[in-house]
Amino acid sequence: MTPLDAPTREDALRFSRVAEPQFPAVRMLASAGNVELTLGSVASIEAFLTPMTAEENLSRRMTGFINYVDFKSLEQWVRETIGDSDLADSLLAVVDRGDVFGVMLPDVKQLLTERLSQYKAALELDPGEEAPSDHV
Amino acid sequence: MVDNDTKDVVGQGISRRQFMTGVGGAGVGMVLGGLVVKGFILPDEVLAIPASEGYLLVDTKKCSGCTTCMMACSLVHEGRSDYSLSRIQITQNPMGRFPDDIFMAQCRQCPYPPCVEACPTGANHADAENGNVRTVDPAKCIGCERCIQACPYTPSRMQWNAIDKNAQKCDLCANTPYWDEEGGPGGKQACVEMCPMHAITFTTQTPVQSTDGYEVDLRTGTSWELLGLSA
Amino acid sequence: MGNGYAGKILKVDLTTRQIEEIPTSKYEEWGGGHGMGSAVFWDLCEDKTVTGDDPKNVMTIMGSPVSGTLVPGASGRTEVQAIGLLGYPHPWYTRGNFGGRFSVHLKYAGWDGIAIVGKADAPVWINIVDDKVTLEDATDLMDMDTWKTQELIWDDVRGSQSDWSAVGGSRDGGRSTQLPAVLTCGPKAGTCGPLTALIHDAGNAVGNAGFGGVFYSKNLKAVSVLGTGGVEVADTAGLIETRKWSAAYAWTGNAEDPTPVTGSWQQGASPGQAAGHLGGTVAMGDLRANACAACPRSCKVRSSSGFGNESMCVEALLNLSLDYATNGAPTDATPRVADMSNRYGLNAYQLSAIRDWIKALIKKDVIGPGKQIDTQLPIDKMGSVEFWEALSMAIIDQTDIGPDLSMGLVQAAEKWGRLPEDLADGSLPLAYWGYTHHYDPRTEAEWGWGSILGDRDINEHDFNFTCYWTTSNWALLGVTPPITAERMAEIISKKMGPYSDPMNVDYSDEGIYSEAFAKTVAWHRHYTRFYKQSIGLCDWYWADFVNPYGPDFEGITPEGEQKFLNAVTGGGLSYEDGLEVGRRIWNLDRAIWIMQGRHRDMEVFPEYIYDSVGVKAATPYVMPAFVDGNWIYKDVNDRGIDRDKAEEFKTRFYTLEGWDVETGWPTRSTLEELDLGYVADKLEEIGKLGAA
Repeated sequence: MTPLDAPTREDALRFSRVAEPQFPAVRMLASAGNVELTLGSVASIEAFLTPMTAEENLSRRMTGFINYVDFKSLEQWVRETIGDSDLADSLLAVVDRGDVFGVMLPDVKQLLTERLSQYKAALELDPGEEAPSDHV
Repeated sequence: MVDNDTKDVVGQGISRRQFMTGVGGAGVGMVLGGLVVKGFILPDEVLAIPASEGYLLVDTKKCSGCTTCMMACSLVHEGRSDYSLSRIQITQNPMGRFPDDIFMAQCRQCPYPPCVEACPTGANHADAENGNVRTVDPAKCIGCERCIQACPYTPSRMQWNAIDKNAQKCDLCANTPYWDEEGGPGGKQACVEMCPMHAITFTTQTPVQSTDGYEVDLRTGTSWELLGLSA
Repeated sequence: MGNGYAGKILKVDLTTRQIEEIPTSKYEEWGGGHGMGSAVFWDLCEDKTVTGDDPKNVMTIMGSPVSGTLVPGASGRTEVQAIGLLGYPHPWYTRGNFGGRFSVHLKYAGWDGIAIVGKADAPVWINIVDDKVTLEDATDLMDMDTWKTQELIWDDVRGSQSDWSAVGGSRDGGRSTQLPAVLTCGPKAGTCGPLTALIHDAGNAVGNAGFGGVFYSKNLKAVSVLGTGGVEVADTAGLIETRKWSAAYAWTGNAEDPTPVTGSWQQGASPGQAAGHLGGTVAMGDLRANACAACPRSCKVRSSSGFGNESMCVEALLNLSLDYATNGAPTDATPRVADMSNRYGLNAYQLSAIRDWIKALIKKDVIGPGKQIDTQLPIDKMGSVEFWEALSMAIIDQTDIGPDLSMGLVQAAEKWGRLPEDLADGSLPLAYWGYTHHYDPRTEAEWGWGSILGDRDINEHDFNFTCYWTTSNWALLGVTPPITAERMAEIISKKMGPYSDPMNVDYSDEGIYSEAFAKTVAWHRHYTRFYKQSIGLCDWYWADFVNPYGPDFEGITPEGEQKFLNAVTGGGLSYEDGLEVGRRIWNLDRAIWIMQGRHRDMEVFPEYIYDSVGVKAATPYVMPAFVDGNWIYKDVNDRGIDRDKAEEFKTRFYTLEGWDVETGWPTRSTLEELDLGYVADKLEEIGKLGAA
């Protein structure tokens, strides 16, 4: 994937915030049903998404889980609520491929991870450091 | 799993079971004349009988309480699924706490079988034709039930067959008229074959038993460890 | 050589305290379980229009020929039927079944089933020990929870658990090491009838229908049975061989090398699945897999904490999502809440609806102290044991909002002035006849159609495990499906006997209204009524369509059903014969519903199902679908049910069943074809026979 243009410091601060309305997510538990959650920031969504091979998931047996978000809705939320249209465009490119969730997941995760790094760079934070407004 | 199904202490501060099963790995069992404890002290009064050439081992932690073994046992022996005629008994308390919610009561084929000792007619005997498994010849059974009382375990591994009017016990499937398989110590056992949890197995080695019973672990190193249950 | 039947059905008249025997042979043509129960109900219930709590209501508790045998996922299931207390606008004549070991002891005691009529003049429990049947005083038990009740009855019947106990009066009178099997209602079940269940052992429940309240209305607290006999089958060696053959399709036959193929399977599932429902070892401690009688799947668990024993699915999940939301991980609150619903004999499905409704009402800011729905319940502590205890006691002791909820949730909504809004927007998640929204009619269409064309939430996972859970798991995990949608469709349609159609499982937007889908729904109604509910094949084990261990993923339906049943009975029943008995039962049941007031116009969903708002699966619903000339796995989560197409579908279905398309009532020719001319006579007598 082509790297996105780096955001300005001002944009990075804005994109890193905890926003309202928050974004709905679902923690699917193996054979146990869904726990619906809301996530408020790009960072919290990035942390929530957990790519896992089928083998890894199977090895968890009854403690297996899938953290699910609807990527089409995520693209809209990033565009309309967060305001990061560059990230939204990249998400849209993934969504438009029409793959199933499990195939799209690693790519979406990578996009978000790289974008978070750009936020932090713009904010002159260490890679492990959180953006000041990112409280989830 | 340690089973602790010994009946109350009998005489001289020693339990029947301590005495009967205390010599793990012995190749020869003994039938004692007179009192058990006396016999223990006076080995030259004992009559040696050969040890069984096969034993059932059960892993109670693996048992699901489905009672398939009980249905299979009575089916192959008696031609009917019947808990009361099963020679292995699974007892359980649905509200109990694991692992004490389920108890698997299988005959130990005791090296020193008190059920054989107690039988006044020789009906209860070690069957030389079938690997010396301890079994009952119904034709000789007079229904005195002494063997049932003599079994040191609870519930008694000896049982009363109210249909055929004789005592009976686990014969390791040596005599299974309703099953096409060859049974006995040299063959297959219905409970082993049918247990869906693989919680019962067969061994030709006399299990090493302590006064508390014996440890069996049929889970470690198997795919059971993948299930997220008690390993 | 036997045929699996004990030979007699027990009839207990609580009014007269008379105990009678009915020869099973009179009803053997119905198989057992549901079919036998409906036929007995038809004969014994003189007025089928009475309410569930009327003494004239008749309850049947039936085993089957395979009860107590080695037939896997079937031996331990018991079918219960009566006019229920739960439902809107009518509690229909309905059913439920439960696992465990009750049916085994019933058979071993010498009975194929029990019919309970009338009402006792004082509280009783029925004590069955082999042929001996007595009515015992239950005065001190009526307000007792289900676990305590069972423990007291166990002690009363046979004392100590661990030793052999002589239960007869003589040497040959019968001995057992087993606890009696007890089915009981919870405390004060008469006060909260629509929300009640019947419980057996720690966690086996007849959850839906309000049957706990039916027990209570008859002054009946419990039925206990201890059998010291057994059952003979026709082909002992054949039964054992079939069992071993079927093991190759299950975890048990592959335990040394279990499949790595992911999915939710019936026979191919691994043991202990309920652990995942209850929070696993984190919440419960060490676990064992626990099974109903003779079942290899062992889907339940028992724990070292003693929490969550034998609970699974709905009661196990009752608090799990709240636990995650509150604590971020499962705690012992999850299994303890499951235990609570079992101990109090409350229907966990209805409690689930109450949970979700309260959450919605909190969002709408209409519930709480001094609000439209004035309550002192600790709704700010949902997810805690404290909340559930308070809610349960409000229901049982009739305090706070308990009396309103106890009328039934639709009725409570009416009283609170919430009905039109909350049912229309899905805040009150009741999808069919006032039963809790389970699987979604918009996506899993066969679940929805089957429920509104029947009497309750069908709760039958034949298609659900394969066509939703398994396929959705593949999509969510990014797994390349090990079989194509086309192959899945081929396997399933191949197994549907006379209802086979290449498009049987086309879950596309058009497919769910099609002629082929009507055949799918008909197969499902007929298969489950006979094979699952009359023979007792467990819903979590059968049917076996797609199997990870099968050759090219093919499961053992229909060969398995036929082989097992005929090994037990010695009969030559074909798979198609069984489906036809199922169709007969389905029509008999329908006749009873018609007598209760059923009409085509009533067979509709609540608004939110049509309008696609409110309750909607938040995650993908990936199902096989035929789109643009190709079979694909498609996410069908984004649709509602089209009203006009739904009506067209009903017309197709009624036509297929031989029912009057204007009324939904069976015609005489349809009933006579099923040897139900006497039913046609009755419907004609009341002016409700379908026009030819």
